[in-house]
Amino acid sequence: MAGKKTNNIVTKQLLTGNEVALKGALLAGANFFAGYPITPTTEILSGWAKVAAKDPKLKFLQMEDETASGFAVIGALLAGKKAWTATAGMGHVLMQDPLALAESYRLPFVMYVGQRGGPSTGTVIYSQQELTLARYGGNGEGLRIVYAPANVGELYHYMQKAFDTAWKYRFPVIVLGDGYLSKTQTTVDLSEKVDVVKSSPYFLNGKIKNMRNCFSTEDQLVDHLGFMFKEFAEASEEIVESESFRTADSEIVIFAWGSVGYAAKVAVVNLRNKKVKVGLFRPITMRPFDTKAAIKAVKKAKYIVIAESSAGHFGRIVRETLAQATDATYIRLYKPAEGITTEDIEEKILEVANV
Amino acid sequence: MSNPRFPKVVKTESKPSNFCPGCGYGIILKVLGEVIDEMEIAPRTVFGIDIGCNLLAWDYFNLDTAQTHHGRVTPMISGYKMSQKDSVVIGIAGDGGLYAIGLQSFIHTAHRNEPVTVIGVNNSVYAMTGGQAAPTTFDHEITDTTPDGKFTSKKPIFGPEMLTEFADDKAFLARGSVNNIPVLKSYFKKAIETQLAGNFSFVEVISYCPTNWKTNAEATIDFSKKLESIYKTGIISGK
Amino acid sequence: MENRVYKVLLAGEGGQGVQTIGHVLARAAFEQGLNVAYMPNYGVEQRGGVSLGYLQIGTGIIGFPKFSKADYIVNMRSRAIERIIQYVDSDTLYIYDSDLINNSELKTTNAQKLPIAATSTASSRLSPQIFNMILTGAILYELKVIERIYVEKALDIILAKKYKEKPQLRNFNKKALEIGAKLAKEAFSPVKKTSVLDRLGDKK
Repeated sequence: MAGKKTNNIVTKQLLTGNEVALKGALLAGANFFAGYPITPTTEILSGWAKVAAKDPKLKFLQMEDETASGFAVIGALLAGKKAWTATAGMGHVLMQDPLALAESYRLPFVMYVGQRGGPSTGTVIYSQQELTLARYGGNGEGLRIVYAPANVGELYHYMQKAFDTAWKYRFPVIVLGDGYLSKTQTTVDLSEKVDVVKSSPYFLNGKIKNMRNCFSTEDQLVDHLGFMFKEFAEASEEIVESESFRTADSEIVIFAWGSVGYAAKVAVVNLRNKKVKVGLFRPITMRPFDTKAAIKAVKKAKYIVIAESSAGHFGRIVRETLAQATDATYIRLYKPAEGITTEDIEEKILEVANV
Repeated sequence: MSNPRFPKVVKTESKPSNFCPGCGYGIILKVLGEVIDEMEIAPRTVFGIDIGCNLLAWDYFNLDTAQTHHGRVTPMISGYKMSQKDSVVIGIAGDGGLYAIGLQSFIHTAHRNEPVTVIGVNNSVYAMTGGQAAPTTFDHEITDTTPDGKFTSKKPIFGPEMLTEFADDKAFLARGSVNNIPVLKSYFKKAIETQLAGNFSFVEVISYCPTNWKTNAEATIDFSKKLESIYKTGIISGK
Repeated sequence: MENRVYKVLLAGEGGQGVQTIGHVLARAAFEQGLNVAYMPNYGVEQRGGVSLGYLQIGTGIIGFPKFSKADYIVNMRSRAIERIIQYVDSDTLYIYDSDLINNSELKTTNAQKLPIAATSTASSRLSPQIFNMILTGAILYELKVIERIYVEKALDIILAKKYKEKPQLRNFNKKALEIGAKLAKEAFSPVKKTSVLDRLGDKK
């Protein structure tokens, strides 16, 4: 995670995930935010209102709902603003409407999501149940990028990087956090500054653009999609990221992501101290998915333990990815809408190791 | 096990209240309960609620109750009423559920003159999420997303007044306040009578929110009176 | 020196000041240079309802904002008892406001218990709202890893606005922390200490 250091930020601060997401976006040059209050990400909306009240260069719109928020962001993007929004739960569901348009128009739509329990209003607290929605929501082919930070340090990095990726490759980018990450206050080093490309307007820039997202014939849409698939595949090679931790000699490999991914990493360190041969594969981009690295990570695996705070959103991706690549037994540590602690993971691995 | 001071239709197990101390919902729901009791409609009444503080009323009444998604109370109770014409449907939503995310449905329900009763709770903020601005936030009001009173609109949304552009002549549109219970009760009664006669009815209620207004008891009443000076109480349409 | 993470679960009712204790201790630990994670946990009600805080502090790495078992529990409300029993194990020290929670209500909670008469002490000696600071003083006496001076610094930061309006609050809080520590110390007085040590001896 290399980057330039800034000199005028107090580098270590005690902040919540929401505050860090806001700071990361501002550092990346975000200058437009439209949104609607929804727990657990409301603090991003009100935090932006407070900075925008003092800085006329920052634009702010509290919209009538999430759908409208997404379209306001789209308008701002067309005008060349580094626009973004933040939401969760049912708000994330509503955002799929404008996201589908952003996909079709190849817009650099950046959004932070704080996953909470579902379906419906569920809880305002936490889950990892919005993974499929982030990757494949809307009625398209899921041509969006999804980053999954594991802790506040990664959140600060990937919130900045989201704007760079979005404006470089012109696909919507979702930073997929969760309610625990959003609300937990912890020490974070703010010294890292990620290089982020400039934004530029689509309209009123000397070259007329006539944009439509509706096509008359199958052929026209197929051509449109074909071009997008090609660009997405090329971009994926450069964008894809994951972490393989102590997997080289592991008979037990944990697959986990986001906050649970970090709990798993700490669990692996503790277990290795107890001489258990366990490793972790942790995707950082949930889309595109690092298939190559995942397959490599399970080369010696006899057991694959999938740990997630859902009933299989991640498990389905893992099984599809590894379908031809492993004979290992799958163990599910599924806790939909509930946290998975390092102790939970250690307990499960010891159980598996003693089988 | 009945408490003579509470309406029969209120579940005694609902206490202690889920609402904040000083919340206006305590008054609104009790008054509504009294009207339901007196009109003897409980056996055929269905209650719809939104997201926001009204969702805390999900197990308040001995009535079939459904909490929906934000802003979707009016279409839900419309669908129910059309399917069960003998029922009495009452929906409650706040300033967000009716005037923001639910505005489109709210207007169209009135426009179609659906024979439903809607109660709108106006405390000028989005309370449950911590006091952000609402369409009922007045100019320069300080809220969680209008720091120092910035970003407010000059005019708030006046619900019952706005509906006069869309509602039938026979619809009942009124605004009451938790500061005047007898009048509020008469509005709820008239609203349900209007539904029984086959027309749309809406009562907006000026309510308290000391938690997000950050006011003590006295200042809460003062602030509600300030809202009453902006939002005039009375019958707007359908005497 | 071993790297440890201390796990403290705060519990009470929305409006009691559970989150204040958590924020103050988190800020204190941060100022002291310890690793810290503080996560509030509550439902949709703005008031009432069970309000929890998960605090982790120490020199070790904190892997997840929640934990499975607590080293210390601080409970200020009976209605939270059932919700937090899953965090109790034989090593947990269960601190509670004995004015708000009856000893009998904790009969089935198998932990070492430390009753602190915070509410009555606050009401009689300082001011009723300050009972959460008395409990904080008790926690600090037991937890030991956070130094009192950093807690006072944290209070100065977090309550800056309130201190400006009511300067006497600063002294009140300082006294409350001292009183809380004293109450915790006296709970393990020489007369009682024997029986507590006996129990500890049994467990360890």
